[in-house]
Amino acid sequence: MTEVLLAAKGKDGAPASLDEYRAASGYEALARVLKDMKPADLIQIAKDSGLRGRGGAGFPSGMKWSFVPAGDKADGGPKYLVVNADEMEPGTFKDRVILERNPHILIEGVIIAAYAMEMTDGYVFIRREYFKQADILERAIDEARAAGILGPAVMGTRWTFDIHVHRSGGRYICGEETALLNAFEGKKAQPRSKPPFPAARGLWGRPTTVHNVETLACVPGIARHGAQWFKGLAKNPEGAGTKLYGGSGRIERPLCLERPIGTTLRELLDEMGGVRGGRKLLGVIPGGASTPFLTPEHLDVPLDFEPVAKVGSRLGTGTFIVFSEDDCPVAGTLNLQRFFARESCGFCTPCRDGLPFGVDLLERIEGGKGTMGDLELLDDLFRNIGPNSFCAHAAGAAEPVKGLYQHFRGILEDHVKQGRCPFPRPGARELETARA
Amino acid sequence: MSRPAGVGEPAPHGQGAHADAQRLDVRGNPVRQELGPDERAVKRERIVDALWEVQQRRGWIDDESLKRAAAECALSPAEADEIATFYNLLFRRPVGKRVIFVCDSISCELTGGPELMEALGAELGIAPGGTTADREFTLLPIVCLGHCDSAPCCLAGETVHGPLQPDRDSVKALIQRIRNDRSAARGQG
Amino acid sequence: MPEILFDGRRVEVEPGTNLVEAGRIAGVPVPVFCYHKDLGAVGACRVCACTVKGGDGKSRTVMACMTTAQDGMEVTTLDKASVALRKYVVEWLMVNHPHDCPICDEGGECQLQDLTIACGHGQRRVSVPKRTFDNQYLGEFIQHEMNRCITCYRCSRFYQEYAGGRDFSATGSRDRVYFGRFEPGPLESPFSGNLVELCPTGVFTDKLFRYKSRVWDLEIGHSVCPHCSVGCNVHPGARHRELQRVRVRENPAVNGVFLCDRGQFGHGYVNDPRRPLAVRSQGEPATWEQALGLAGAELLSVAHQHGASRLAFVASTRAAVETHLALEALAEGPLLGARVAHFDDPEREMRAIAALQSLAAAGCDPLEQSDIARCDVLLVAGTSLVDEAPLAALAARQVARRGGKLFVLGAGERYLDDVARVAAVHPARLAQELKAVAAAIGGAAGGAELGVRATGTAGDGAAPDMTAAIGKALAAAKRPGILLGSDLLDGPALAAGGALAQALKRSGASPRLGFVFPGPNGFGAAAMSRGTALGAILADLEAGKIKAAVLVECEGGAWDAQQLAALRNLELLVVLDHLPGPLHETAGVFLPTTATYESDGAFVNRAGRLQAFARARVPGAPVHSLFHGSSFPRDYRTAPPLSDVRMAWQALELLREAAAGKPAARSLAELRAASARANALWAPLRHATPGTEGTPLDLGTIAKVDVRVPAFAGEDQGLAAYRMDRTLGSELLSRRSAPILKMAGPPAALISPADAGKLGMNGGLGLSVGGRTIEIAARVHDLVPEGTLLVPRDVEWPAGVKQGSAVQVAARVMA
Repeated sequence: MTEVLLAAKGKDGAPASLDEYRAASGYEALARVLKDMKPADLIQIAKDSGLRGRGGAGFPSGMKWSFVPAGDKADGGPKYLVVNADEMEPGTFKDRVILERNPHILIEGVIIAAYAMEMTDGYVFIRREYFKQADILERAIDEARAAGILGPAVMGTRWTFDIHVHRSGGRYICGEETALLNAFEGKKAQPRSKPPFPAARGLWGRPTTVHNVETLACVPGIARHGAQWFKGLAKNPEGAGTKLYGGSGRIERPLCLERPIGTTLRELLDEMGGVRGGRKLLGVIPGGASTPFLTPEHLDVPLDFEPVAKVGSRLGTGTFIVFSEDDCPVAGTLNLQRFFARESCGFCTPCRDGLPFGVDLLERIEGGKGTMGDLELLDDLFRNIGPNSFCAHAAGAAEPVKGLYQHFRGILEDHVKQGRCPFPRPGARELETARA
Repeated sequence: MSRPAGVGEPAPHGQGAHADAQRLDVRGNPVRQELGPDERAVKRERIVDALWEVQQRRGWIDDESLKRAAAECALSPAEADEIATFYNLLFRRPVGKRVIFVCDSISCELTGGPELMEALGAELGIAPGGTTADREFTLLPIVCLGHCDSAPCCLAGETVHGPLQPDRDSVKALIQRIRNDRSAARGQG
Repeated sequence: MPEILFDGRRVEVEPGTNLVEAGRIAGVPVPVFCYHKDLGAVGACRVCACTVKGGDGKSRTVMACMTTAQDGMEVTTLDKASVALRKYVVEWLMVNHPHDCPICDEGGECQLQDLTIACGHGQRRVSVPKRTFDNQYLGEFIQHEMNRCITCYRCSRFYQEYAGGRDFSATGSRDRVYFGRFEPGPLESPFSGNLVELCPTGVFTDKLFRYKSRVWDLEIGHSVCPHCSVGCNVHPGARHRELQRVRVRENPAVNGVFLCDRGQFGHGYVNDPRRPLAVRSQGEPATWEQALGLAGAELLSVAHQHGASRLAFVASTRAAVETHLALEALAEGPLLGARVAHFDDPEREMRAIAALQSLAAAGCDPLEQSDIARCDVLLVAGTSLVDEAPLAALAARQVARRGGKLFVLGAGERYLDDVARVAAVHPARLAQELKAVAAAIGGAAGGAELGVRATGTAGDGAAPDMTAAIGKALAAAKRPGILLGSDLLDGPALAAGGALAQALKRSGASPRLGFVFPGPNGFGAAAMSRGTALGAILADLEAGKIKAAVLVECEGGAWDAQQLAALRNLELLVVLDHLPGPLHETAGVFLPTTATYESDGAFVNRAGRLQAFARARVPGAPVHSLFHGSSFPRDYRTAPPLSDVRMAWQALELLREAAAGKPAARSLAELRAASARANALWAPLRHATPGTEGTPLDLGTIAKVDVRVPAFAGEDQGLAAYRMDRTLGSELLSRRSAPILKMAGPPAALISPADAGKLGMNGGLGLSVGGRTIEIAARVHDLVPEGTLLVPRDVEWPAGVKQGSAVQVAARVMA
């Protein structure tokens, strides 16, 4: 199969060096772009390619690029492309893999995208826990600078463009694009209200685009081979490009695999050795903590944005978490809600005070002390929290609860009827990690 | 004070090799830098790094260290404290020389994370949140480390360890590996 | 203008109106916590949820504060979804909110309490323990109870963003956000008291009022703050004959919804146990009749024997308009020719009168308090606003925050320097600087033509490019404003300020001009003055030419040992006041009068706005001080003890009746009507009503008066001392309050780094001035002009030493 994002290979698992990247046709796209293409053309290609954001939201990237004021609409001041390398969505580790194996594809993607949007500076906002990966990226940036790919004259043009790495202090909400901008500026990582959108007023009030690592890694291929090529990589008709899929949790071999987008869960589970210990599949959370459960009935749904949305879930980051028949989905949802409650930035009431409310209810239910009334309350609670919060954090928290009620209502009721968690593995651990 | 290797560079405005040269945009026009961040904003951007640096030296961020980091970034202590108390990796209370962060998000929970936490706690003789009497280790939970392919895992210093087993021998070996890891120890604890 | 339907009511609103304000216009009180019309909308609390049907016919839940009214919108707050959501919001807030109502001062005026009842929340459906915090000592004014916090962020938004404070912030995250200081200690902002009003729950409460009363038991007055010339409106609250607290009263034309700490916490003087509340005549307790009879007879006798010009009548700028008018009326009839002064400080008298003349002559609109924040370019000159008129400083800050240009040409600026372009200007140079600005407006070639010494350093004065920039900005502004002090301005500067406004007017702009006046009624006092009078009175007093004097609310004025000795030698000294002090002790006749919050009357604020006030309480000994262990009172009375106190204007009217026979005005209305008839300037008195926005006086009716204010001695005079207010500690009423004094700390003079270096200063100075030696702590401040020493007014100063006099200074080590 065509490996694109992970095509360049380093020696013995080391990151691909500049030379190794070039050996895999790296930076040819950039050279061509700088020589032959106008920024507006690139934006059109991006739109036509069907590239969608791979950070979780799935927003069409070309459209996002067109929001940035350019030409006559720009005021001549700085414009920023910010890479969201804050990867903290539970179950997600794909951006890390790109940084470890092929950092230059990100760099090239950044420069090409920056060219399209006529940006003046590139920044990478990376989670601090990625110590090794940040170092790898900075070494790759140094290589690019030394080769004249970044710096005062990008590949010999008059355009000055460089990329600087900013390390986070460690908080999930930093992955929300406007909270990221605040965190970057040295302020508290609380989200901003939109409008204004970052394209109009972003980093330091300037036009800004925030993009996920994997999204940008797709850009060199698109620039080099065109929109149709990118579309053609997909397995399903609506899809476009390849996807870095990942599996973790109760999977035999947790892996990150680059496959055509639209590959099914069944195919991926197969490649990763199936459910651990040969156990039966209960379900998966397809793309990080803020996506609803998929069950065995969805094994053949193409893992692409539209098809997954059609069955009531979201592709999100495309890295799925596997639940076996021994794993309680209520306990799993409780774990996710503890995560969301603990990572709340504390700005708005539904998230800050409503999520701990939800944790309390889930603890009671999982611990066998819940009532049928509690089940109604939990459902109603999240229906009110989700759509009415300031940013997407609490909305994301509501998603797995939605999936829980959609597919595992019976299990919920069993907890109440039996007065205990009916699964063999102990749930509702009393570690009090949420209120530590 | 020279920056330790691996810590990020400052933002380019006004700094860096090409700062003095007139910067040109994609179309070859000069960029109107005065519309970008002013000096105060540039200083402020550094606050997390400044706090990290003092924490690396001191082990945690005490009031004096916080005041220094604040001054470096043109912030008042109260303003810098907003940042210092917001992040999972910054400590405003004393911690042990080595902090062991055990992931407690979903993939690690499904693969034995809780058992690992318990085993580590038993071996070190502390509960999560606690610090050993000799001040060598502090045990804390942390959210997803992005190493779900090595679950269950933990972070100590700059190293993510995983996949881990919760049996006594494995845990002892882990603790020893952490002891030997230079990146894990810092400050005077 | 967009027209919307709000809960079935059709309303038209200004473009850009959010739905909370639209609801208010429609008569629907949309509940809010984090929204505040001056702090803006942030969308944090989610309690203002309502449902909106837009043009596309789709209904969606929105936050009213974050949604702009669009034409054709249909808004409902009463649908199931928004009602349920608001109920949830309250329930979520109540997850952690403690059941403190029985012990919480906020009860009865608590927005959370009101909304919890309104939403019907009563049952806690979670079992998690409530999170708790440790409280901090935040100073003498504000009590901290963090457990009650609902994390609306109003306090940090006000303190940090609106007021520019840097020692208070919101630390932590999730459901454990903590609003407090970096370390326990007094809040540094002089606007910290606003936290009491802003906080929708009882996190920040008035420490002076703590546990005293339930708010529904208070007698509330509609009054005006007497601590400076801004004229903020207040609600004094009293119970059981004790003034217990002062809260802000909203007046959109003046202070909006804000107050400063001086005004909010400086009321201790009203309840001071040393306060004189009894009539005294010739050293003995007396009745009003006795005292008035004696005094009236004496005044008449002096007038007949020696001539009325041997009588001196003086009132201060903290006296009400009606008091001043009654004083003038006293100098009529048989007492016609008595010398009348409306100020108790000669330096302030001449500057205030000159400022008023400059303002009247400029012929432009006054810079009202509410105009300040609306300026797009504001020049502040010759004052440290935060010290002289704090709320004006707060308003000036908003000019910069809203993207306007803020310039300060002054001495000792310490509040606006982070948002304004500031130059430290020697007061002797200010006139030149203002002229340079005016020249820049006229397009003339900058400062060189006027012989202005071109300097580049902030210490000597503004660089020519700065005055040029100011002039240019003012000329191009849509809403230019000029705000000048008065204490630090000499004659040329006072005139130059007015001339600057005129130059702006000529250039086609519509400038607004304002000055800071002394006391709450300095403008009124100046308006009543027919020229400076006090200087001559004091000179004659010391020369023994005055035989009798009536001093109204003059305690704490510029009376030194010599003048007190002269007063003691008078045939009659009548003192009317409510403060203890040397005048009270020296008086032959003492008539106790009411404090502002116990009075009906009016002040004129620094912009010429007449504001009437009504009392909160009747004076008298507070209830709790009466019984001293007895079980019931031993005296039968018809009036509360120590309550035989009159309003100053009443007392003067009675004195006039005793002296001149003409019947006293029986009511305030009668007095006002008479004054309005006599002088067109006071026509608005007729309809002056407490609790309203007040009425601007017509500047055109202010009589032209000749007043000569000398120029300050030049800059090469060594160190020149300038007396200046400081926010806390120098204002004579508020500094009698123990908490204010504690928060103010001891006074310190401000000196420039260069001068401090020359002196080898190390924390203290010894000043030789007016024949005396004064030891004082001193602090270096970057924005003090070289050659000046800024001395707080509460430092005892020898009388007769002019503002800006050279002083001999030596370094001292302070103990």
